[in-house]
Amino acid sequence: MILFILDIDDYKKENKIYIGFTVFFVIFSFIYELFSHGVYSNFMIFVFTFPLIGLFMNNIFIKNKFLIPKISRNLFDMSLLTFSFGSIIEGVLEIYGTTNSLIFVYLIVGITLMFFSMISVVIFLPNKD
Amino acid sequence: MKNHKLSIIYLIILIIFTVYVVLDTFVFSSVYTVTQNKNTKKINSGDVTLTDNSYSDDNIEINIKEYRENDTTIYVADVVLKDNSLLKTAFANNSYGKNITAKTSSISESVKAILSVNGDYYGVQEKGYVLKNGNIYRNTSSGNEDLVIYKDGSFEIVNEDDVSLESLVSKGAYNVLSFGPALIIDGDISISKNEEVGKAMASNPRTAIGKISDNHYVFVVSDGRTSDSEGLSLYELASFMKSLGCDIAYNLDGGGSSTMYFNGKVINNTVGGRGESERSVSDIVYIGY
Repeated sequence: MILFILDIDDYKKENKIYIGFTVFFVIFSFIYELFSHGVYSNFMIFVFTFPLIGLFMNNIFIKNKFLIPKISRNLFDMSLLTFSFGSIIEGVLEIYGTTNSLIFVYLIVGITLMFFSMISVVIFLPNKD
Repeated sequence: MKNHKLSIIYLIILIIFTVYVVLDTFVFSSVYTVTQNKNTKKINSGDVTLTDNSYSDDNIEINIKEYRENDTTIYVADVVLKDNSLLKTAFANNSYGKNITAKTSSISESVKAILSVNGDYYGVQEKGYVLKNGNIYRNTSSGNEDLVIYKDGSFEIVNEDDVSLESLVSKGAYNVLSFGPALIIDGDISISKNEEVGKAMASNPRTAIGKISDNHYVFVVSDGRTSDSEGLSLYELASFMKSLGCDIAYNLDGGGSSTMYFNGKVINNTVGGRGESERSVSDIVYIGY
């Protein structure tokens, strides 16, 4: 069930989600920085790059007609989502001038999800031969 | 929707975890240690003369002056002490811990401070030396440039990566302020024109402490973020401290934290209005018995 291969239309729908998140993060970080009394955080300003990476990768898949298993896509999206949340929270902490060691959980979970996303492509992608 | 079921479940988990991180950072509080004052020396103040902008007794002389520089109102408390042990620090709620905060004015009232400013807000950092009135509370280095206040009243700027807190205490350190950066060292401005605290790139309310000569100190707070006062950049603050004749000067927590309390009143415009939107902080630096 979760192992079926998404078709090209699903990839095009994904594009809209990535664009939506990118636009939302740009507006969110702009408004947050507007009220941060001149204190800036690169984590907040550049949070939009994570969905943008997703959009970029998605279009590479579309262009090359490289359709990966659904579970790999889900893990990839969850990884980007984790990095995005981590980036926003790190931005909030930096702007306030504080720290929290729990921020590393986002990094570790994000990397782990990305790793399993790539592994799952190799494991679940049907052999074309 | 069905395709994204797993992602949605994960999103919910992620939101719950994020809410926990935010609460853990800003809300959940825990007391690690209730402070004990080692200083049991009783000092008699003698006759007190008090006006709206001055205080004097047998051991303390304080004069408050207002300056106008860089479109900003700056409050300077000139302090001369006969006994250096009267320069002290205090925790919010008399406790060292996480998210333990109180307004500078409330902490000042609780310790009967004559004059005080906000301190280094140790509570928002997980690392950085915390030495208050001779007691070590945290000895993990954050790599910060610290102001060491010795028992004899002398000041020194050190880097936490270069010296342990224990060795500072063995040399006579009584208080350590871990915020920074140092503004003046040996009479010279020690920061570059573009240097700022962390990621702050704009003029802001500021708090600083400086030493002019033996037993002669200045507590400085500038307004900022108001229609009347733009605030100071770090370099402007350093230049101002130099103009006061400081041999050594150090930047403390600023922005909404910047507060100067004298004789029962907050005298600067805390961000948002005079005394009305005073931010709660972890600790103060004060003059008092």
